[in-house]
Amino acid sequence: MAIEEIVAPGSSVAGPPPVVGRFGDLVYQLRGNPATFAGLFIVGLIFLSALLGPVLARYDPYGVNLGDAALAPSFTHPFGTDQYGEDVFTRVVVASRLDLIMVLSAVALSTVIGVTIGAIAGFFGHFFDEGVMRSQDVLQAFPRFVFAMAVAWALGPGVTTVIVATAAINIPGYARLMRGLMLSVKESQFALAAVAVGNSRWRLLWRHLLPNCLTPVIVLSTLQCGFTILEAAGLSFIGLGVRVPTAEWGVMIAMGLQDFLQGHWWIYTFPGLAIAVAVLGFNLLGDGLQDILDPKRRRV
Amino acid sequence: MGSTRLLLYAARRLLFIVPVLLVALFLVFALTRIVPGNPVDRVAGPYISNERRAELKHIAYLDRPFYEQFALYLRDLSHGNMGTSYTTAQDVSKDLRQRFPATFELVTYAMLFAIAVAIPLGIAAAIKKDSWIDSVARAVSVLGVSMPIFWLGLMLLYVFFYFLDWLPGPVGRTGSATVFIKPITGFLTVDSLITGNLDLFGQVVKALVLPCFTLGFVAMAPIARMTRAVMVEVLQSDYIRTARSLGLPFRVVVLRHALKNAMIPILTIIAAVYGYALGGEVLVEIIFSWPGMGQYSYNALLSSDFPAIQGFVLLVTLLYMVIYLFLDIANAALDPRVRY
Repeated sequence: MAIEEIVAPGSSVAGPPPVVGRFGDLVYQLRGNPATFAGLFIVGLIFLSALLGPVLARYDPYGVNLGDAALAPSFTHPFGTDQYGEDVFTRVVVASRLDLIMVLSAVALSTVIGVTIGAIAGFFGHFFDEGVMRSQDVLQAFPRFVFAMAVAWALGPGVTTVIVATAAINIPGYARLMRGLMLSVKESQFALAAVAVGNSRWRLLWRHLLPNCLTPVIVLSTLQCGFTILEAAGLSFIGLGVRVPTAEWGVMIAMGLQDFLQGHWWIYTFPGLAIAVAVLGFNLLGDGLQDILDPKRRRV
Repeated sequence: MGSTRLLLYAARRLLFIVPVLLVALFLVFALTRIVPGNPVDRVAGPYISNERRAELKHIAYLDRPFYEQFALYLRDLSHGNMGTSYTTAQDVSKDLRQRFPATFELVTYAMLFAIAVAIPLGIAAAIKKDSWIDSVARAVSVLGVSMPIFWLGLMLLYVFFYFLDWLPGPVGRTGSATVFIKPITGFLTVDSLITGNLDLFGQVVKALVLPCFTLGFVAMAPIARMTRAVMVEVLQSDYIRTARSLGLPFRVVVLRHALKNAMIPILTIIAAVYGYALGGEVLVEIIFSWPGMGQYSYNALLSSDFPAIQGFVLLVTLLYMVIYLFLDIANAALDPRVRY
């Protein structure tokens, strides 16, 4: 055990020694971690299709053409067409923009609110802490998806609804994580040192403690992107999120369900695959970031 | 640990359930009452007289301020009255009693399936790290959390119902059987066996296969992941090395010494998944037309059926708390270090 700690296992066979520089180091870390690389690749692909999708699309995602309704996949329509004759491939690609916007907004919203609540609870303790933690207990006793459903129903269908509803259910997770981190970080030596040289409480919190809690938050946010895609699609699937003609992955599966008994499998299979691949990408990336950002777990 | 102390602990935890339920109910009240639009308008339609509308509002307490409605609901609740559903026109408690067994049966079989696969898989993956079985475990846990559950259900339906026609379609708990038996326990697998109706039993089991697999596959992922992670850690610990060096067979070391110590985090994740599934398998119920609580809550939301929503939240929160209570008691029993 002791020897292994000094001479890291595999360091002599896994490739060249670490390259100096941040980018070089990133490349080195990714080479030893193919799953993370795959995750990064998928996430990059989604960003790319969100950026360029509408430009590259060969068909209009809302181009109703009943003459070509429900065609099976072919060379002209690689993913087939839905019951309105809209090209499924185009819609899957175009939908990535809307889905990505919803997911990133929701995750950003829940991260900011959750981290703030958790940091305050952990840093100031006492009354804040009790209040925050007890309300978290109550929120956690709610089934997540039912809670999201209720919020979405209260707000009425729409893109903002999906963002708010999926953000709301994730706030407790961030608050809990941040509180725990803050509790341990605020007792550390460097916090004591920062107080000793005369930093104010707010400066201590902002400049010294928060940055030291960010790594797990980044990892959680990446993983949450995946779960949020699932929840957003679920809400839209049951009609509480984005509504029917919109090119959105969950909505497209719902449209496929209408045609289920006709056996038009391609209408719902491909949007679902898109969701699965996207979530997989964010999950792999999140897991990998955990290994790369944590000094104890990263490649030497 | 004395059993009286354990009982006291359980009693204290039970008392804690009450404030949580109150807050949860309050949240539901707040959420439902701020929504514009009145359920009376939706239920009664546009063609009733204003007097009748006012009367209906009065009966449902909806003409009163929000806090009075809350107080009145609590008063009725203390008499065991959960109100009348606006859509089914029967007591919410009766509605829930009818639908709960469907959900409980589905979730329980799904969890049994998930546990039966995930724990051995996780253990095998931990013992043979970086082998093919480890890759399988990894794939299962990554795929399980990546797939939209409603999509997985649809794909399975396409293959096993539409394409192969081996299993019944999304038509509820009894599949193609039209036999109706008087519910005894409400769990159709049990009821059909008690009454000796083997034909119905077969249909019920067939109808359970796809929804259970769908839910179970998703539930499997976190359990397998946690089992592997904990077992890897436990197997490296000193006492396992000692046990092995004393010449104990590997099987005994793994199953009796390692697994027992790994059980606490595994139980925690199982409880979390179970609680989550009990309230959160709405999507599975919708896909399979399963007449359970998930569908009930979904329909209640869509039709602004306030008493039904409140009743559902009350029941689900209670279930969740009870599951966690059992978990804490199990932890206390498993881990002698736990003080309460």
